[in-house]
Amino acid sequence: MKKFLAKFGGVIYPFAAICLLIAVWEVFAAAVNIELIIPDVKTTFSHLFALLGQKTFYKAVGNTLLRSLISFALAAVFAMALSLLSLLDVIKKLLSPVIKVMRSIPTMSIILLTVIWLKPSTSPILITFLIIFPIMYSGFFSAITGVDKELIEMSRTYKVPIKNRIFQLYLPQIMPSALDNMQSSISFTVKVIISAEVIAQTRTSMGIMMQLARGYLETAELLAWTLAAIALSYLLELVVYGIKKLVVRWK
Amino acid sequence: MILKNIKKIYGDKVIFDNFDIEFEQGKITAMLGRSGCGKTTLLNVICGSVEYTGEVERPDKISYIFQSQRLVPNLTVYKNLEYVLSYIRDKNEKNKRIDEVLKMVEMYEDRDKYPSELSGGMAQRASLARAFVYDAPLMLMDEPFKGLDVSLKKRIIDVFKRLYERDKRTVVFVTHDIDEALFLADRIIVLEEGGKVVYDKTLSVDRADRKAGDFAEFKNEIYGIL
Repeated sequence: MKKFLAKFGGVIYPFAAICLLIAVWEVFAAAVNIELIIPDVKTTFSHLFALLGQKTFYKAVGNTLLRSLISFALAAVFAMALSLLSLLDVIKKLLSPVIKVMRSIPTMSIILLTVIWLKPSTSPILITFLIIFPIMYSGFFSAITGVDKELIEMSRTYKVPIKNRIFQLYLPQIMPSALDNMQSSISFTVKVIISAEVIAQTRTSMGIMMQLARGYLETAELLAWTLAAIALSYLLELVVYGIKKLVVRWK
Repeated sequence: MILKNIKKIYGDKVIFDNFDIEFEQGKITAMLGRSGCGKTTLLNVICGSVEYTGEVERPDKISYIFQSQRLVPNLTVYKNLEYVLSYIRDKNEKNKRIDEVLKMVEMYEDRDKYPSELSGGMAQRASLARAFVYDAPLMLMDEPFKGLDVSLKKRIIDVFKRLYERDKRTVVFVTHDIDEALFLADRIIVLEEGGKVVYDKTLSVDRADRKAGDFAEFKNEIYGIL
């Protein structure tokens, strides 16, 4: 049994967890017995399959995905650049209070302020950037300062040029924890983008489709969109995981 | 290589004060002493990796074999050697030099392995290869054979001797092993706390002719001091 679990545990445990969640969902739906409050699993999945046959579904998912990727990429590039610059004490001291403030601002404040400043199609991008950036910056900076000091000393002793140190030591050493940081940030990005789309009333987006489903009291459809959002987040995490496997072959 | 009037303090502790020493070119000097007497600090002063006051006449390039191998984990054995050879522009010359040294340390077949795939002895040989592939007239070693079992230590010492005979660099190494010092060094120094040299002897027997059991008298003298 132990050997079987060791070999197939990676598939068995997630499958068992999903089955357990579905079972709990069914129990609650049966207990409440009001479709408006908790539709059962079969009804929800019927709505999901109906959505999968509609063009608007793919347009909405595509737009939300595009906004997620843009804000994520912007946050990652800025976070990496600024965390490298933060190796200079002056930059680090200047940025530190800014990052603290950005982390402390309530998410809803950022959302409500940004929808005043920007169009509904672009405000979710800025909103997500402002929320994700401080998290990624802290993660990247921690990865950079965590590079093995003994390797840095060895590089100095052997007079390895800075350019070689950056590309052959720093970046590869930073990559594993930076990619871990990115893997957890990407699903958070999707969550925030969808929230922002709801508030900003962004057309043809997953957020607005969830809002409409709620407005029409179509709880099963709302849950179907939620499942789609979960699947999207999971797929994006898998992509980052795949990149990590490709890039960090030496571990 | 000459050190003059070296002063080094860590907090309240004086490691060296008005310390002078000279190392003869092309010779191997072993430094022994109790833990905390400043042996590793002296190596770090020589290579300039710690702050100090005083004068150090050091060459432009220094190889260093650290206590921990300090191989870059994301680079293969080959790439780890290439990492320190950026000053060689000619790729063919670079490859030739790396291949030659890898063959001498018997790691040519393992050149595409990552440090995580190497045993302790192999990692130590890779670290030795890196130090010897780097064109430096001075080599510093900080307990380079520590933690190795007897047969592996002998193999690696033999590798070191082969590499050393090829270049005859100036070598300064720190060890706690008196036999290692007597087997390899041309000169043995014992340091005491406060940076005093309390023993300084040059060995006259050629390294190739040394046998276990030689220098019993020196050994007793050194044990008496330590």
